[in-house]
Amino acid sequence: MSEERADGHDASTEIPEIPTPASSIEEAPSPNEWKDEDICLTVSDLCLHYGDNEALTDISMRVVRRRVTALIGPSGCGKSTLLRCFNRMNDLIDDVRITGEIELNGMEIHSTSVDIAQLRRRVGMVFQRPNPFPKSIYENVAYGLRLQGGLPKSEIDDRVEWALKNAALWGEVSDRLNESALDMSGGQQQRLVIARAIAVQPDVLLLDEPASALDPISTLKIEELIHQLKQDYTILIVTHNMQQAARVSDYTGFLYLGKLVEYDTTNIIFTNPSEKRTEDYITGRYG
Amino acid sequence: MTTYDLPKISNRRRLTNTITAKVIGAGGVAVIAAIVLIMGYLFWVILPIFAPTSIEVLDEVSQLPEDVLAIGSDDSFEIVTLIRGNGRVEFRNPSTFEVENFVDVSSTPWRDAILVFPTTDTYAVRDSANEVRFFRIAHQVRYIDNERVLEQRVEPVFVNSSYQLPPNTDDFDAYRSDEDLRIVARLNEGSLLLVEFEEVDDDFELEFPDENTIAGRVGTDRTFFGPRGRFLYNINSETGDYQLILVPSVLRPRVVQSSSFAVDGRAPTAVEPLLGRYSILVGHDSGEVRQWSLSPSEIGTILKPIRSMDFDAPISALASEQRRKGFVAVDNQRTAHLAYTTSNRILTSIQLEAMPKLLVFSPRADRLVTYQDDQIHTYAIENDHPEISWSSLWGKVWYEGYEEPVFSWQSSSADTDFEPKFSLTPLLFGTLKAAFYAMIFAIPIAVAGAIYTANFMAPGMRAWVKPGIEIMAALPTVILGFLAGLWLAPIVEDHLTSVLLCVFVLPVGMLVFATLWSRMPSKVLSVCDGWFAAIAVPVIVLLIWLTLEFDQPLANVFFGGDAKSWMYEKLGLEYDQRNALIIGIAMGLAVIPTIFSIAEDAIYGVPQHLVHGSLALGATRWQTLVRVVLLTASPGIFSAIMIGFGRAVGETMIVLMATGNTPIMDLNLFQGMRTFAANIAVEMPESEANSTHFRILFLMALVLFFITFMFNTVAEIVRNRLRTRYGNL
Repeated sequence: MSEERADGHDASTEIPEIPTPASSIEEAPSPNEWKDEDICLTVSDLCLHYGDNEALTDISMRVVRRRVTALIGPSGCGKSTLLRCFNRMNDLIDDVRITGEIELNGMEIHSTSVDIAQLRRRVGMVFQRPNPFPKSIYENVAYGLRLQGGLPKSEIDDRVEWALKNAALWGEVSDRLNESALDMSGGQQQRLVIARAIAVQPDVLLLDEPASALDPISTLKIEELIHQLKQDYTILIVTHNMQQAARVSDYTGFLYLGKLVEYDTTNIIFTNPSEKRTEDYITGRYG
Repeated sequence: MTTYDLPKISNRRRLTNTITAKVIGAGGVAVIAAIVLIMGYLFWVILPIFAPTSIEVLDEVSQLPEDVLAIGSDDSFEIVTLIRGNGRVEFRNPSTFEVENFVDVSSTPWRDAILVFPTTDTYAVRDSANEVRFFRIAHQVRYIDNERVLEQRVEPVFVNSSYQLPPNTDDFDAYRSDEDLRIVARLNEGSLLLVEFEEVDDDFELEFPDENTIAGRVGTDRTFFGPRGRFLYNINSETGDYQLILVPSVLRPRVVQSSSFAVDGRAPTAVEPLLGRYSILVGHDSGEVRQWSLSPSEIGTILKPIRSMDFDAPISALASEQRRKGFVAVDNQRTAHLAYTTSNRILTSIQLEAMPKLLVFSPRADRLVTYQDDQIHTYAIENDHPEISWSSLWGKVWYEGYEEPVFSWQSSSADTDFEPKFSLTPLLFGTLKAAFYAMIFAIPIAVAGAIYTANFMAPGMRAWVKPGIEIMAALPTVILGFLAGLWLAPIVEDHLTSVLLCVFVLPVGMLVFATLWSRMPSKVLSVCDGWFAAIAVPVIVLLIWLTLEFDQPLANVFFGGDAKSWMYEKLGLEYDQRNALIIGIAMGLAVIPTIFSIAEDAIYGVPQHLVHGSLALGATRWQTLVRVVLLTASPGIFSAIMIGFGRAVGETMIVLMATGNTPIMDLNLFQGMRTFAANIAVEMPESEANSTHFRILFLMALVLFFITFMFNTVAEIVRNRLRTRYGNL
C-alpha cells in the first residue's frame, strides 16, 4: 500500500530534501554560543542506579529549545534510560534510585511539588514500537485531551485535526477517523502515536528509537516529520541509526557505559569528534 | 551411475512418529465421538416424548353374551374379565375372546357391577334383590415347571357378607379406604342413603353400619363418590344440574354447591369423572368437553371449569384412563378422540364400528375395549407420553385442585391418582436465580480482586495470591455445599442483622481504614506498597467479628430486635434457612476462582507499552486503569464472567445441599429454589426408567446443556475476537 502524503507529494521526491548535517550546522550554534533563554532542559550530575547497578553516571547536559538533540551510543549505554528520566518514566521501575537534578525551564522535575501526570503532559514521549490504544483513530488522538476533562467537543475536534495534520496523517485518515487504530500500518500507527503526543501540546517530545520498527519509507516519513516538528517542539531522540542521527538532529550526545562521553553539534560529532571513543563508535568499531 | 538420496529416517524414529500420530488421532476422535454419543443418547431418550400417538383396530369378536355388566383386564392385558348379569365372572382370551376360565359367583342374577372407588380390582355387584356384595379379582403369575401360568381368582371380600339396599334404589356407588367402606344409594324419590362401615377389614363381616338418609334432588341420575370418599357428586345428566356434597362423615353431610354443567342453558351430553375424581369431564353437543375440577374458593372447595377442549361433533360418550389424566371422547359420528387434560392435547382419533355400550381402557391405556350388543372391539393404542406439550412444559397450567393456572414442578406423589406437574419454568427460574445471586456475589469480588492483583499488588504477594485462589477451584463443591447448608446457613439465620449490615460495614470500614492508612508516614507507605491487601485482611476479619459480636444491639437499633420478623412485617419477605443468600455466598465462592483467574490473566496480559503510552500522555494510574487497561481487557473479563455464569448454572452439589430444593418461583433473596442440576440429581435415581418423568429429566439435562453451551460459546466467541482483535498489540 502506498502511503500518500497529505500535500500530495510523492515520498520518493522528498528524499533529496531531507536535511543533511551540512544544512543544519548553519542554524545550530555550538554549545558555547548558547544563551540561557535558549535552554529548555538542564541536567546536572545525574546518577541513576538500578538496584546496585549504576546505569547513568554524572550526566550533565543542556538541551536547546526547538532543536533536535540525538542521543547515540551502543546498546546498554543508558541512552534510553536517560531519555526516560526526562518524563520520570523510570519511576515505574522498582528499585530505581536517582540523584542529581533535571530542570525543565528552570523547574526541578524531581521536586515533591511536581505532579508526575502534569510533568508527563509537558514532556511527551513516543516509544520504539507503535502503541496505539485499541480505540478509534479519533479517540487515540483525543485521549490525552480528554484526560484533563472540560474541553468542549468542538475544541477536541479541532485539536485532533490539528495534531493529525501536524503528524502528516490527516490526508490518509480524515475519512476514517472512527475506524480502529489497530487496522493502520505500522508507519501510520507511529505517526498516530506522535499525533497523540503532540495533541496535548507538550514542551518537549521524547522519541525513543521511533523508527526502529518501521520500514525505510515509513522511516523517511518520520524523519521528515521530526524535521517539521522541531519548529515548535524541543525534541530528544534516541537512535541506533547513525545516519538518522546525522540527518535529523542539530546536536548529538554520545553515551558510553552510562557516561556522556561527548556532546556537541551533530556536525562536529560526526565529522570531527574530540574523543576517540566517539570516533570509534561513529566509524563502526563497536556498537 | 549414482542417484541423489536423502538419508533414510531411522526405523525407530519412524515408528515413534507413526505411533504418536495414531494415538493422538485416536484420542481426538474418541473425544469427539464421546460427545456425539452423549448428545445422541440424550436425544434418543428424549425423542419418544414427541412420538405421535396412534390407535388402530386390533380385534373384532361377535356372538358374545349380551349381558356383560363390566369389563376389566389384568395389568398387561393378557386376560380379559367379563362380569355377566347371570352371576358369572368369565376370563377370556384378549384377542379371540374364547373363555379360558370362569367362576360362578352367584346364582341370583346381577343388575349391575361397579368398580369400588378408588380400587382397580374390587367390584361391588347388586343383584336383583338389591343386595350388594363385594369381591376382588386377583391375577397371579406362577411358574409351573418353568412355564409361565396366569391364574385368576375371584375372592369374596368382607367374608361374602352383603348389604341390603332399599328396594327403591335406582343407583349406587361404593368407596373403600384402608379403614372404611362407604356406600351411597340414590332412591327413586331423589333422596340419598349414605352408609358407612368403619374400620372394616377384608376379613371382617359387614356389621353395624352408620346410615343416614338425606334429601337429594329429584331427577338426578348419576351419583358417585369423589376424592377420599369425602365428596359426593349428584348429577342430573338430563339438565346438567349437579350437587356437590361434602361428606366428612355420613352423619354430617353438607351440600356445598348446587349448580349446573349446562352451557348457555344447553344440557351436557356426557358426564364422566377423570382418574381420582377430582375432575368431572362434561361433553356437550357443541363438541366441547369441559373439565370441571374441585378448586378452592372463598366458600370452600367447589367445582370450577378449568379447561375446555373442542372436538368436531356432539359428544356422546366419555371414558377415562385408569392411571393417567387422559380420556377418550366419542362423538355422535362414532369417532373416538384420544385426548389428555394436563397437556391440553387432542392426540388422535379413530372411527369406531358401533356406538359402544361399554367403553373401557386397559390399565396401561394401551388398549381400548368397546362393547355393544354381542360384539367386542379392541383397539391398540400407542400413547406413552401424552402429558407433554409445549404448554405443559413451559406455560402456566391449570391443574386439578388449583385456584388458577400456575407454573409448577411436582413430579411424583404417594397417590396413584396424582396429576404430575411437569413445568420446567420454575426450575429454569431457580437455575437462573441461583446463578444470578451467585454472580452478584462473585463478580464484584472476583473482578475487583483481579484488577487489584494484576495492577496494584506487589509481585511477591501476587505470586502467592494467584495460585492460592486458583487452587480454591479444586475444592470439591460437595464440601462447599455441606459447609453452606449445615454450618453457614444456621449462622446466617442467627446473625441475619450482621450479615445484612456487613454489606455496608465492610466497604465503609475499608474506605475509612484506607483513608487513615494514607496518612501514614511515606516511608511506611512505600515499604508496604502493593501489600495493602495483606494489611487489610486483619481489618476485614475484625470488622466481621465486631458486627457478629454486636448482632443483637444492632438488630435492636435497625430492625426492632429481630431482622427476620422485621422483614416479614415490613417487606412481606419470608425467610427460609437455606436460601438464595446462602447459595449466593457458597456458589459465589465456587465461581470466584474461575472468574478471578481468567479476568486476572486478561488484565495482567494488557501490554505494558499501552500502559506506558497512557502514563506518558499524563494519565494518572487510575485513568490508565479505567480508560486503557480495563477497556483492553474487557472482552477477557466478559468471557470470564460468562464462563463463571456457565459454571454457576450447571453447579449441582452446592444448590442440592444448601437450597432446600423447593421449586418455587420467587425472586426473594431469602427463599430457596430448585435448579435443573439439583433436580436431576434428586429425582433421577427414583424415576422409573422410560417413564415420562424419566424422559423429562433427560430433556431437562439437554436444556441445561444448551444453556451452559450457549454461555460458554458466547464466552469463546468473544475470546476469539479478542485474540484476533488485540493479537497485534
